[in-house]
Amino acid sequence: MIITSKGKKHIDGHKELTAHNDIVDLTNDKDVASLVYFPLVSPNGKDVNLLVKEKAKVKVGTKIIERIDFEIPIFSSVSGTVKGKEIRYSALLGKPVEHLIIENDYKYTMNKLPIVDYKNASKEELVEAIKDAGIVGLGGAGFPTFIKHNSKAEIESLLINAVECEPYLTTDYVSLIKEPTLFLEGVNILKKACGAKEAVIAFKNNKPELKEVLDKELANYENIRIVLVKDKYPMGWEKTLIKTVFKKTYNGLPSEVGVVVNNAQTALSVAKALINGECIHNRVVTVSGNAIKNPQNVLVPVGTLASEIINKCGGVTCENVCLLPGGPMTSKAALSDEFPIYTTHGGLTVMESLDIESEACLRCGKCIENCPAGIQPIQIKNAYDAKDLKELEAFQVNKCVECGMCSYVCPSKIELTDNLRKAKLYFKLSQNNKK
Amino acid sequence: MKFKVNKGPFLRDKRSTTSIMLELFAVLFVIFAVSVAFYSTKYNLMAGLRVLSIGLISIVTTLIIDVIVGLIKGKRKIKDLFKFVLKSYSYVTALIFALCLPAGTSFYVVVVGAIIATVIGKYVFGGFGNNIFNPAIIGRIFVGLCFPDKLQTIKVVDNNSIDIVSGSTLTGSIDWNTGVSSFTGNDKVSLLQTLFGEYQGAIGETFTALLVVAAIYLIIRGIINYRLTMSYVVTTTLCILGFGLLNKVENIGEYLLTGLSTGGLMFAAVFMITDPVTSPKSQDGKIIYASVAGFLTVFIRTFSSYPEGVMFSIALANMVTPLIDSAIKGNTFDKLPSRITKLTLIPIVALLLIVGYGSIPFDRDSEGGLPKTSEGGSGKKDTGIVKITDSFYEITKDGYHGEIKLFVRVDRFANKITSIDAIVPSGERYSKWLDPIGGYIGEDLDIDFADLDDFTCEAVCIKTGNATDLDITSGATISSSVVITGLKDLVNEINQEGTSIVEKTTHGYIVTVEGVHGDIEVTFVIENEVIKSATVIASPDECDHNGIESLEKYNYWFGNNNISFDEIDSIEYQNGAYVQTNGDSDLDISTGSTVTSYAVIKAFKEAVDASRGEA
Repeated sequence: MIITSKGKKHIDGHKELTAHNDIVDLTNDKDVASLVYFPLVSPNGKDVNLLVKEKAKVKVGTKIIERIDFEIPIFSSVSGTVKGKEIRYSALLGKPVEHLIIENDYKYTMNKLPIVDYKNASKEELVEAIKDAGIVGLGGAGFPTFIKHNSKAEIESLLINAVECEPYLTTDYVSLIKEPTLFLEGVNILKKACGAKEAVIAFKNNKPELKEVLDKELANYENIRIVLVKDKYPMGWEKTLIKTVFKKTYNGLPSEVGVVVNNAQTALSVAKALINGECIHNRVVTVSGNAIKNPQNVLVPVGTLASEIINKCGGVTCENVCLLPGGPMTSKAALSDEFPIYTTHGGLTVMESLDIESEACLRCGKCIENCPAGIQPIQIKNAYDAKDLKELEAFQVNKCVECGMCSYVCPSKIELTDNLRKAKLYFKLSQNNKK
Repeated sequence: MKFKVNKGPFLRDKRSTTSIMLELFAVLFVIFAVSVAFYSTKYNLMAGLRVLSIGLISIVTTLIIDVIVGLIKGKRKIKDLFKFVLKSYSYVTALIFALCLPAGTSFYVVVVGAIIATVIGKYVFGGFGNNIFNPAIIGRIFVGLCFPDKLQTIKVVDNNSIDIVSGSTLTGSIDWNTGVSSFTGNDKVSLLQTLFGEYQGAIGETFTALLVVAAIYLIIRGIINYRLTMSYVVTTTLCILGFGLLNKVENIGEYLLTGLSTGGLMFAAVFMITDPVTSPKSQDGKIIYASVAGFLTVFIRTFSSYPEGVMFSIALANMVTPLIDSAIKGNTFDKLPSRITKLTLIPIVALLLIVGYGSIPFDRDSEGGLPKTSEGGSGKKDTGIVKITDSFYEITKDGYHGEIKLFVRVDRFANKITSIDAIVPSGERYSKWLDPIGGYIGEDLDIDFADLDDFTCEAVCIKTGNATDLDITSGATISSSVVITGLKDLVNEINQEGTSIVEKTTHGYIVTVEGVHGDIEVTFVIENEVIKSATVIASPDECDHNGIESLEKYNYWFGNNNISFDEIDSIEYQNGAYVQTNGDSDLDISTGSTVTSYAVIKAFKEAVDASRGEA
């Protein structure tokens, strides 16, 4: 560590803005979610099957869309009527796509999922139930949860990621504080589903309240333990977290070292689905940032427009802002606030627009020192500027996870992350062309 | 309200290049201010003002260059120009450069150095961030090579004035092979004094203790990369210990601490090796780079003729930087051994190439370079050589502070200098075997005459070969060159006399001496301290001399002259020629101007010596 790269760094989280306030329930607010929108494209850009027709009546939990690629359903988050389709901007895909519109009747009549006797169910039954409940990773990637648990690899541990290393975001924290029992049940189910011997819940050591709350409940569970990690970014990234918690490194998937990683929100939604029969219909969203009037956590139906949520939080405080569907480090700025919240959107961060002026590279090596992937951002940027594919490969451009660390630390304010994104794309496209 | 689509991430560290550079400048300025205050109190106000002027002149010069370059680049508006100057960070370079100079540096040299540093060191490469070499080092090396006599220390004359004094710096006076410092006798420097600036060196290097504090501050603030400083200091420590043990230095602890606390090593470790622009980007690269520089520093100090190796070593390491950068690929989290094997080989090969190339001796004559002269420094007067006895000479030569007298004992048969006595005026500074107070120093020396050829004397004498016993670590002082040229003149003189081999025969001796055209062999028949006859065999090309008559024949019968030993003794060597002090002799040497006559008379003397020695 003294000699080589660190790969992580403390970044001021600003979590105090929203962490200790109650979650504001906006589901019955008539200004919010009168219409909800669901993109008719899956998050990776693939087509989906539309399961409902226009003017059909839907309930909360009615299957409206099925993803073709993983055959998992997407449920309506409100009860009401299907109003039609509309092209609108999606922050999820970064471009305008077709959306299904559902008019909310604010009754929230529930179409419950089949309740599973999870205590006696087999591993296969649990995985199937998780798949049918349409559970996806709620940390941001939106990868279907059942696939991880279907793995044939020998799994030692289930790692529940409650680190929430992105600044400003507190959804995991407030959700777990609110429903610790349900959360731990979810962890238990996931542990059984992946066949792990133990479950490890990891979160930052600056959340003693959460540890207190969970410790009280933990007596009822076997083989679940809490690991506190340092307040560093990007501690929540799988590789960094596994390296910190288990001191293991791997190249491809965590299952190589016998670990399955799930987000804390995912565990919570698994418990809700299997125990309560509720699909993912509401979402706790942290509305925060340095340019929002009233930072708070809100509960809204999936598909609610960001503009409505922001209005409910008092609007923005300055003229030029960047609206981010997620945290400030990894998100891409939204083109407008007229986009719907997707199941994976845990935050709406409103940041003051920075006037960033790059200057000559100081060659200080801070980007290299702090890169969690162990690559050399400035070298990759130079190779990309020269369009040198061999160099890009030698510098392992593919390993970049776009965490934003390099741009954050750069004293010369070079847009490294942006360049690495482009370099990655350029490299990928040229590799495809070769084939 | 507008939604901006900026490039992520949307949080940025507050630390900017400008803030880093300004903070670095502030730290440098504190060191500079302390130096000014120190010089004002330890010496006098004039000394302090002088130091202050050096710093300010350097900064103002670079700012003027910045403005000119800015105008050339089309920054016409005051605001743009100000920003350009602010972000060129030449003021940091200027202050580092000024702190590398000794207090007595001529002001115009400061100006020239600052211009070279910014223009050649930085703008030629494309401005800040693109320079290959550390600009301050480029400036310092330039003035160090071009104006060595203008980089002087100061001496207090009275309360209101100072004098500029020529003399080596402390580092120059230390013989790094033995660890012995011959810094001016009555001005010995203790280890503690090196820590608190009680000796004269460059302005910035005086306060080693303050530099350590500055280093800790800068590392904590994240302004300098501790890997560079750490790796540099660790490598120099190991190398100093290594070379010290190799040379069997007596007090290794003191040797190490002296090595670390002198010669701007600490200053370089804090402010020069840490220059991010000229060091490799990756962490591994930085460590390799600083180790290379550290090794070269000690290597140059110990083995080369420049005892202050810091500047050269960093400039050389700067050259390896792009290579290290391009060599370090792959993942920084890879296992250490695999990385090390990959990484270390390349810089080591490069280093060997650089050092190897640098050690190829250049033939100055064939390059039409500077002509060789036997005169060095200010020792303008001819060398006065007086032969006291056959193997004992007195050399008189003008040093910087007056006449230097050397008493040299030579082994004429082995062609060696065996001892040197000296009477030197106080104030002269010199390397280990010349005591400044006067008296006896070099006993049991073993200096081959040929060893002196290892020194090239132009303005000063520089060791260009690897003479063993004859060790002048600092070639920069005038006194040393006076001595070396004096010894060279002596050897020339002796060589003119020729060497001789004495063989004993049944009736006398055969003495072979060197003539101009080959050996001259003289066969003597000696009886009762009288030379009965002498036969000369010489090349027919050897020229004539009255005393020997014609040497046209190969074989010359010198005659039954019955020359007594006393007669031989009466021929004395005076001021470079044999003189007959007793006129009444068969052996007539009226002119002593040819080599042959020296050689033959020398042969006579050798025969007499040998005969007496036997008796």
